[in-house]
Amino acid sequence: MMRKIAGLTDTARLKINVFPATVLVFVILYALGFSGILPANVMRYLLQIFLYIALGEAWNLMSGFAGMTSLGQQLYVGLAGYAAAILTGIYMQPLPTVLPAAALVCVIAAIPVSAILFRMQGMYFAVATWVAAEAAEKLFLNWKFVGQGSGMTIRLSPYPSVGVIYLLALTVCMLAVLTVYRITRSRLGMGLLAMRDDPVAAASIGLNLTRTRLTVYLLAALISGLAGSVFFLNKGMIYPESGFSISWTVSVVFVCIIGGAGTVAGPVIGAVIYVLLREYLAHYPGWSNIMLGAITLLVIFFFPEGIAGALKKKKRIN
Amino acid sequence: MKRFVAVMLIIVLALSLTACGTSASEKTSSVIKIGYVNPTTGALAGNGEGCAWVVKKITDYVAEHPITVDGQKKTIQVIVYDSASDQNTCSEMAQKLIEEDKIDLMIAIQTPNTVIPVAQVAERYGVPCIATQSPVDPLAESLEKFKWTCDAFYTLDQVYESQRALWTQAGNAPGSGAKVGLLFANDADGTAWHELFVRRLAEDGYEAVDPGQYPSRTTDFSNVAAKFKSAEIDVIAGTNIPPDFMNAYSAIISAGVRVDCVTMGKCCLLQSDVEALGELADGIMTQVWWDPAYPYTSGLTGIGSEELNRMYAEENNGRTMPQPAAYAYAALELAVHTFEKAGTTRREAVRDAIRSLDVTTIVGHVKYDQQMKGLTYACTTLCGGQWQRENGELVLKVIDNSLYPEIQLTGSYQPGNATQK
Repeated sequence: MMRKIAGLTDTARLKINVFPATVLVFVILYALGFSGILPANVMRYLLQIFLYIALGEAWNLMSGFAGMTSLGQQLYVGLAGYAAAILTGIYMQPLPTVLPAAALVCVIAAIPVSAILFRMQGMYFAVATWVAAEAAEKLFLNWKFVGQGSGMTIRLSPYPSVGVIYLLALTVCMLAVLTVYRITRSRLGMGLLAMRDDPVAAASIGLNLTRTRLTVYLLAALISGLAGSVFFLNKGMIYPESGFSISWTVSVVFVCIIGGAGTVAGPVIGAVIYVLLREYLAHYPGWSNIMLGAITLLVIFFFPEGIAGALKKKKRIN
Repeated sequence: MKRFVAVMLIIVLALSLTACGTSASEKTSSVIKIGYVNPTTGALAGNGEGCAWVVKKITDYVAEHPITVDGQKKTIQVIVYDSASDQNTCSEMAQKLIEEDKIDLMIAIQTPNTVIPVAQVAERYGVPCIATQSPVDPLAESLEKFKWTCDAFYTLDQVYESQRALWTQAGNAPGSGAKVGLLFANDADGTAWHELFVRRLAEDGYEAVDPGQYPSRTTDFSNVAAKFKSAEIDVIAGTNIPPDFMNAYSAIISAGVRVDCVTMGKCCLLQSDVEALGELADGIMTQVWWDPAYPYTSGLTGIGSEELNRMYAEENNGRTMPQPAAYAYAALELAVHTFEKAGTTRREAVRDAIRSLDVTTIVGHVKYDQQMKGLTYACTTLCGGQWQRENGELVLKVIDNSLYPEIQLTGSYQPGNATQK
């Protein structure tokens, strides 16, 4: 009992320390970005890490915290990428308009999609999210307005430098981490955990399941959309196959499983490992997926709660 | 065991961290860095065959014959990354080459699927780019203005005319009303071909049987087969990646479709890809951009087409040098000529040097004197070929040289299993 209380005290102390530390890290990263002292290559690594953290947090919010396992978050990555391409290429909109508009498109699209998806649960929900993303890919493949399979180019003049994209990615990452952090410590967060562990019991004590699920789904769409638009801003082009590819979800699942699903820190740890490994394995053609798969298996076997989960157990870090 | 796995993970991560910084630190002033994104794995892996061999040959040559750039003798380093035949990865690897490896020049090569995303990244970062193995039209369509990229290949009008000459040899001349079944994927390459073929087929008095473009990596072609069967087509024409063509061709033949000729781009260029079709490969016709019998000699190394092919065969288990590998050789020749001419690695000077090149490569003469929309390009040669069996082995014979008569024919049209009507 005493040990338990001591543990709680430790947790409470660490809770206070982690938040300002996180904010301090973001301040330092902003300062580095604005100062211009970071080499372009370092910024390229960091911005990829930031975006995978954001995507990971969005997926984690749905799958790790709310128990709504999704295989179709690429729907919003692709939609946001296309929104950015259409707004810049056809309507000649400037950068400050593009990102919020792309995220808004995702949220608006998520409303009718959720109405269909929420009729399903568990495995059926997961498969349905994937089907929705596949359907969107087919739609864009055959839509002349967006160039069909030829894809679209994001046209901005002057094109934002890697420094600007770094700052955008950092902002998206910060929004994602702080939003998920706040949620997990709110009434909504407790509701999510209750819903994940036992939806019937959660509903019986007054939790509005539909509203909770919708809130989470729209938030995940918003964060994925913001991350997706910056991803494609960095790439410069979007094709239906690249925007709506299942590989987005595969990457994000890797990020969350390695880092630890159901924890805020999990996607941060997972994204750092994923990006560094992927960049390193670029020197060894064909080995990338084999290595990533092997590491995932090892972590699932030996650290089923991911690295963050294992550390949390070991050090009682919250 | 848990501790062991944890330690292993930390080691892998530490290794990744150190390796991520390696390339940039390798940059030395005595080496010119050339970036190259190659489909080493994935659906286009056949096109990427021979890349490592070609890179070694040209790198070794320049090591023995350094070029004078910025007042000092320099060698070249070609940094190759795998695109995994994925357009997303193409962009990422091109960015990695520019930002991490600090390349002086980009090579965009191996079908429009690779060339377009790589060239677009080069344009964005203002890095000189030598593009090849992408028909001019789809690349020119992909951006309003290319400031840093020059392409060396053929136009789609030339492709159409080359294929038309092959149909004519198989008894389907213009004005014959022959029905041409179209097989194009819904991607940048397929869309550009599709638009042009539909227009020119109508102009030449053919009847286009168009089932519509299909999404790449489709496995079910039963609707295409049914349409071709009911229309009783005479010709199958198109351009596809190998897995798509394998699936489509099997479905079409299984449905009982019999044609006079099959003319395919991209997927039927390589012996390995065509061999996978089994008996049905015999008689398929395709484009020939380079052949060991070509009369050209490299202006850089002085090696002729036949000799280069012999060298390749000796070091690659007797395999014929693939056409894309010959173009990779030519692209690197162009890169070396560019730095020789520019005399500097300053980007603007390198770009201007590319545009002013007038050289002979292993694939023929290259002079960037033409313009399509915002893209400067050089036309390279194009002939028509047919896969024929010789002593049980499939060999690509040049059977049409109507566009470039200086190239010698190596065979004549023969009916085969792919021409069963």
